[in-house]
Amino acid sequence: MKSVKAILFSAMGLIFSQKAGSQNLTAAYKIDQVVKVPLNLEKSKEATINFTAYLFKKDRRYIYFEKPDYINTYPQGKISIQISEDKRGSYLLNMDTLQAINYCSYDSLLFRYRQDFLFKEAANIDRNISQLFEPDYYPWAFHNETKTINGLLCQKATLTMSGNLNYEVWFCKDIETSFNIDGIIGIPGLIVEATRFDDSKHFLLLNYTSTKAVADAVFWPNEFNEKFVLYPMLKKSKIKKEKSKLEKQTEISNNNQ
Amino acid sequence: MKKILIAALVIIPSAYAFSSTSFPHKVEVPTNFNPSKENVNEKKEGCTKTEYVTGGWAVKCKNGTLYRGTVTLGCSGYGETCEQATTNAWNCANAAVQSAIAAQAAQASHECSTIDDSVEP
Repeated sequence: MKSVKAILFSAMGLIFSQKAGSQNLTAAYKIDQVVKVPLNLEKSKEATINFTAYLFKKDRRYIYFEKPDYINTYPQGKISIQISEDKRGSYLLNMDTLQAINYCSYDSLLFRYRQDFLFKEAANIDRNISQLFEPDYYPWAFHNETKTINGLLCQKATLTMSGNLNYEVWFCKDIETSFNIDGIIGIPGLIVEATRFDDSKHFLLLNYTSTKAVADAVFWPNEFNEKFVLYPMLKKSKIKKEKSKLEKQTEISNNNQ
Repeated sequence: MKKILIAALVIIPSAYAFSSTSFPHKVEVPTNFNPSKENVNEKKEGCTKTEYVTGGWAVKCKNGTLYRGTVTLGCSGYGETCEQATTNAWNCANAAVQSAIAAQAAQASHECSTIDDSVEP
């Protein structure tokens, strides 16, 4: 009887540690982004570029970054379409091998992120940013909808900022993380699938593990050796919540039913 | 060495096409892109090639809001050979787009800081 209790206790402990406080997390994502290659000044043709993204967690530190899969496919840094004998259209690609770098510490509630630009001389824009934040800063809307993605039960959430629907995400509460793809905070679980609407970017979890060790060096990429500029703290009390057109239409539609 | 013959015609759309409607602020045509006269092929002989180039930019405001935009520009390049013309058209359009991106991103960054009332200094 004692041994049965011990097994049960161990099993419960394992479940608890998986759900409530895994110290490490390594997750990989596949990203598809639809881009538009111009055929003239008005018309364009869609093409898809891919990235592989990584999310690491160690204790209360997190980092996320994307690696473009297109570097070898388009070594000239552009997607080109021959329109006619004398006309061609091209889409410029960001050829940085590490992009969308987002770091976060929940001990100091500090963000570090790097803005991506097509070329180094891109005006006088701050490249590396650090910023304190409140964990519930972003006005996520949590929905009752659920779906199972690759065997993981996921809940839907959306983020609307300045009246525009920015993200739709599907997250799994059972995989504990406070920080997610693309530097997302405020989602109580690992994002399994997401869409970023303003540039047609789709994220899908490839795999994850909470048992693999994460090296400290991962949290300070070379790009972070450049100067950081401190931005003001993200305070929830200061944010304005505005609904997107889609949310307003849905609300009106629901009220009319 | 043959003189490089570059851009003759820069086509700039009357209004930049933004992928996001969230940033309606008008952006001026960048002043730092101005094809110099010596690069224009006066003879307009040989081959002509036109290149359209699209590039995107993104700027994160201090309140966490992300703004994105795209710009498409086109150039007709002339050259004594079609290879020259192709290179010239691409270089012209690429330079124009990068210049426009820099101007638009800088403008967005500036507007971010002036309209951003949701964070404390």
